[in-house]
Amino acid sequence: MECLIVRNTLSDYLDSGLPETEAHQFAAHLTGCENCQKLELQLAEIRMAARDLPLHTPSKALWMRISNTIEAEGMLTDPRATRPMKKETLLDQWRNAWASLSFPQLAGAGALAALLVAFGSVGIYRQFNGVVSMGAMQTSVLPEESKLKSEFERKFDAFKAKMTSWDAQRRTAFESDLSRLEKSLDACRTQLAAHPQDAQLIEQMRQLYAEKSALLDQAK
Amino acid sequence: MIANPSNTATSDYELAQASSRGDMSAFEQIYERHHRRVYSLCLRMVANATEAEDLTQEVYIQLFRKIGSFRGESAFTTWLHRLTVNHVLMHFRKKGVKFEKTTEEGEIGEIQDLIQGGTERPRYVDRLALDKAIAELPPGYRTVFILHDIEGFEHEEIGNILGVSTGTSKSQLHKARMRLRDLLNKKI
Ligand SMILES: [Zn+2]
Repeated sequence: MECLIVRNTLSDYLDSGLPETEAHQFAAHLTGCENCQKLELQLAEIRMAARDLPLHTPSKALWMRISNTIEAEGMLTDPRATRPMKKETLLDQWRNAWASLSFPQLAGAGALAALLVAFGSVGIYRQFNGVVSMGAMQTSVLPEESKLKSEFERKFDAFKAKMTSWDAQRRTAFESDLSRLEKSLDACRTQLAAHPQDAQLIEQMRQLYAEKSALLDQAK
Repeated sequence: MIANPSNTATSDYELAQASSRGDMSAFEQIYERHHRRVYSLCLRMVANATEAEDLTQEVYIQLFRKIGSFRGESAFTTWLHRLTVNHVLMHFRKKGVKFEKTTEEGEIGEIQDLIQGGTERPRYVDRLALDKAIAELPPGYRTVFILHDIEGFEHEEIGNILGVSTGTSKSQLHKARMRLRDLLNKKI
């Protein structure tokens, strides 16, 4: 048997996919050919390693997104189950979601508190555009959302120039954090539309905007 | 109601039944049990974290819709992984991802290079390095490798899922392994 044939069909041999006589010829060739033997060992190792590769973990906010969508799409038929998540769980999940950001955490809780106060107090009293259009994602359910949004946009515009000097890895990490936050915001907004008076959800929306803003501050 | 989270003995089937009646805490337990494997599968197939999270989300939403149809005849993980694979492949089709074409015969040129290259073999296969190398494979090789060597699908099944012959599946798997070996050797 030639090396070339062995090398071309080695995976069949490893996966026991060869007829008996051919497998015997194979084994005989391998005993006498160092190169093919080496290759066999390498492929066998790859094949073995593939069976216990490490598992990856998605961001903590993913379950929240999933359960929100299920709820928002009205897939729950049991009325007892319409609000399945306990409040503690919700809050815990947001906290955990924070920890999953790739960028360094906020310097201190104080900075966040300050942001929250700044965004919250200005927003609530200044504008209340409670009547909303039905354009799903753009529907503003948080009274001060349009303000928060434009504040972020302004900050982000000023920020974009800096991003050009980043390497691809940094940019990807930043973009993925930002898109994760956007998605959490969408999920939160959807849920808020169904429970507009939920103080905790309102607080979460604000926190998420503060997080977005903090993301820019940290990336500087 | 399956509400006791400390009861680890609750079977996937029981949780699936409860989920199909709208019990979100049961569905959350299913999520907790399997989400890392589903996410890892998606991540390996698309090689992009954000895309993989989106796909995992879609898979679980689809799972919630279909969970009542799980009859417990096969293992729940097998059923869920098949659902995941089909979903990711549909995503590939929508995105217009083209799988590279291969003939069922080996590519002689490539094989010749291998013989003359004489690269040293790694002492062991570092799992993290292998994980990274998988992401570098072309999509067709990658998919077959993931399905066969990681997920344990048979070539017949892979052929059916991907709409290719068993021979093509075998040949793509072999090429994937050869390519991975090259990638791993380069890193040493
Ligand atoms: Zn040989």
